[in-house]
Amino acid sequence: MIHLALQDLRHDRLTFGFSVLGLGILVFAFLLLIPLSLAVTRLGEAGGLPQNLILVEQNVLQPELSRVPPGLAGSVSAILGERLERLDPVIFRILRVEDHPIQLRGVAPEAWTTTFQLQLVEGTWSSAASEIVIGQLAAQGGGWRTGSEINIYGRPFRVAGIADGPGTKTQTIWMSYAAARALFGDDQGAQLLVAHLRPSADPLASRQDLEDGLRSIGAPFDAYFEDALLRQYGAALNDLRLLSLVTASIAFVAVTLGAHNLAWLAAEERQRMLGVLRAIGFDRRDVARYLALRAGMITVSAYLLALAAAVVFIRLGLSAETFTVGGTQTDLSLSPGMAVLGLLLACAASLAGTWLSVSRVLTASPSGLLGRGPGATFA
Amino acid sequence: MPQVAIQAHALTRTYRRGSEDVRALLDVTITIPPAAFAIVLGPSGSGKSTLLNLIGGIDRPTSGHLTVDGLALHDLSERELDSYRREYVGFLFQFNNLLPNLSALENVALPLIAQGRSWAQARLQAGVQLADLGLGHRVGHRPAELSGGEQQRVALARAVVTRPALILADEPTGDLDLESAQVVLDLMSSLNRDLGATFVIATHNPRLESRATHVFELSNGRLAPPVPRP
Repeated sequence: MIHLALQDLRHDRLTFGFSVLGLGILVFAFLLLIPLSLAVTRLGEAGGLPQNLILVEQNVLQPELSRVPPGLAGSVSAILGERLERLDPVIFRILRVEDHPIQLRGVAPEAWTTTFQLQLVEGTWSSAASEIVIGQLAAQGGGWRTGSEINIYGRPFRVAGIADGPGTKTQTIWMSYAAARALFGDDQGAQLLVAHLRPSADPLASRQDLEDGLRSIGAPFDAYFEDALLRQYGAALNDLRLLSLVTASIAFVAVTLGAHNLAWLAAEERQRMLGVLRAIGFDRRDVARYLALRAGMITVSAYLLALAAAVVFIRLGLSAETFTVGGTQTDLSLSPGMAVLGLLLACAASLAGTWLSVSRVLTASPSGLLGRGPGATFA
Repeated sequence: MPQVAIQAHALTRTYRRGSEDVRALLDVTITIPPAAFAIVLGPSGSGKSTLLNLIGGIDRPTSGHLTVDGLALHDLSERELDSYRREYVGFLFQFNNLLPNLSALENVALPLIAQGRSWAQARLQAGVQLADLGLGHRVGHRPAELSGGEQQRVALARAVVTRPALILADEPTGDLDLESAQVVLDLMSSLNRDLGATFVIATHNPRLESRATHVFELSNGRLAPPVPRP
């Protein structure tokens, strides 16, 4: 039956090619949408520092739109009291720097190693207002090294060093609060206030006290743990994730329907041939095996084509497997597990489609397949 | 090779066409002895093909009894009918029904594959069979590359390659010119003589009568009494 299916496909190359292409496009969509959905999920699951409380204006989804008034720091210090280790205003921007989406954080350099736990990978910490430190991902994304000069918001800055830290992987540039303030002006002030708690402080109780205290003075600010803020930001992407999953499911159903249509067409076109096979001694299982093998070969060929296209697209089409939303970077990758899952699902869809379409042919008698009836010839 | 006798008693086959029942075969009773070269004559729509379908086990009677080599075909399960066709029957179709994507050799090998032989064994035996029928030089050709007569000889090779005890042919020469028809008929006669296979041939060509050991005539699904031949 393998030989028969192979010969069948070999001598009908045009149909075979179009079938593979048609199914391949659907499988390609499926193979891309699942990693996209997982990547979006990871955006919302990025880790954070539980000892850091971030104050951001209420009802503001994107941190860069928040604004911290000058008097807020004093109120927070008063509420948290001894539990507070450091309190730093942060100028936060998402902007394109030399065509790369970047999170820029302007915060006092003393907080870099304490509050944000940055560690130098190479170079030095910045010592002048015109110097910056960049994150590893920013260095990779922008191709910048220590000593590079970067134009930010119309001003040149020198990369003093490259640093890495825990938490969400973002393409980040760090500069001093003073430098950021000088760069962007005083109009928008700081966007965030980051309260770094002492290790002995209970983060949950501190947060509760802070929110209660801010509410009591009518300050319209929410306090998040850093990861919670990211989660909230990530939650905004849930619709996208859901959409990806729904589209992936549609692609899966489309593969099933595509396989169904191909198998149905193949069975209808080959009724007489199948009738001949039955007449000369092949049973229903043989015929089912032939049709399943034929559909399977088309599906596997379509899958391999789609897999190759997906790998090429991810590697070449989306800049070295990274996927960036609002300066937050996550991997868009097709793991071997996902690839195998895609193959299994494609084969399952194909078999299900084949089974649905050929059941009538399989239950028909040989004479029915040969078009037998009164007045018909044995032809 | 076993020699099979065919016995049909009150064989009836009706088809449902819309709201109407069409009686393709009505109350047919015949006996065909082993190694016969039987001809079923009759005009189109007389029930010849229906009778061959029933004897070949590719269709089931609506009523009546049909026995081939002691097997009651009307009582066999689907799987038993598959096995019956595989082991007992060779089919020769009017338009040969060769699979266009396979070579002559592969077409002839198919019934052997159905019997469970490997492709290597089947090809070997099919090659011998094709050579026996004068087609040794055409084994690698596809049906579209063969003449009508050659195609029908390939189809005949496919019908006899498993050495079936019963060979059913429906208008085997209906699509051939006189010369090719003569070749195919000669081959069938010699196979009947040499292999001892029972041939049942449906035709509306009365010239075949001269070769037949038994002749049956159908008209409107009913059968005239058989005419014994010398």
